[in-house]
Amino acid sequence: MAKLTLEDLRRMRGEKQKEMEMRDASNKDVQVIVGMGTCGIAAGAKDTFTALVGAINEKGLTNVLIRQTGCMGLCHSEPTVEVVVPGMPAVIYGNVDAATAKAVVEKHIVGHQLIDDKILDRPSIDIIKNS
Amino acid sequence: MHATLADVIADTAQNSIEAGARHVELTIIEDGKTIAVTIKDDGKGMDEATQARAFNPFYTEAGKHDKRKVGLGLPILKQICEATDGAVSLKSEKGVGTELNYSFSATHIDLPPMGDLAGAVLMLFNYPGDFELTFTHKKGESEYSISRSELAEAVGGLESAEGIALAKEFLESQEAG
Repeated sequence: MAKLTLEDLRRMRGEKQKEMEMRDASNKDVQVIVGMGTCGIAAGAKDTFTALVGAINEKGLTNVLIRQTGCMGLCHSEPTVEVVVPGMPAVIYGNVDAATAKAVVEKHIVGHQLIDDKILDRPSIDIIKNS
Repeated sequence: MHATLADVIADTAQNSIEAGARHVELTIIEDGKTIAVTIKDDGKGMDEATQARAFNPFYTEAGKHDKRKVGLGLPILKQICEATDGAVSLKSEKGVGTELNYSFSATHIDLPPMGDLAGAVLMLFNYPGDFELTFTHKKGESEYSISRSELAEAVGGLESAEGIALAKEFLESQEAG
């Protein structure tokens, strides 16, 4: 692989932006938050993160913010992903492998449908009190 | 806990960000015999008593989890360093910052694989908060250095899928060299 420079990145971004302008680019009103604590990473959260980025790019979604957070107190169900879509309840999904990550983008973000069998309860009580 | 060195490096660098650092320098130097890592920050630092306890697995700074009584990042790092003929040292001053140096023997049979370093560094760059992080990786004759602010500027922000994907491509191209 040839090494990319920052100039290459700016040029590639410019090309992407032209593509984006063809689409209806609204404000970033959807948030996807990936649990990237030690527990999440040990369970494969990096793959989940990569799969989410890939699926969002593949769908050409320009209104999605991708963030990470630490442990949400749900270590038993890592990797966890919180999805916040306007007009829908904020949902935390558990055991989100790459395939589920793709489903989160296609069904939840694009299709506005919850993936029932992957939904977890809200975070642990002690975490909520801290926030 | 961590299967790869990349995750250990990301975990220890994350400590600096969580310590409120405005500037973090992460440097990895590989010369074929040794993998040496330096993490320098201007975070809150530690007094001598805290430094003495930093490698104790039953000590942690309260904050992330009030009820948690263990902190395994540095103890596990120390374990890996000692198992691979390496070393670890901590220099810190309260209110000034911390410098963590550690190394592993690159040829030791018990050395964990490096793993996905580009991905681990991307996670650090994407970590929420207003901080600068400069990453330098010197491997043999090749060397590159990139800061969070210049990468974010070049890709148009590190919180959009397109920005993250471009940053990933950049880091992977550098690491592949």
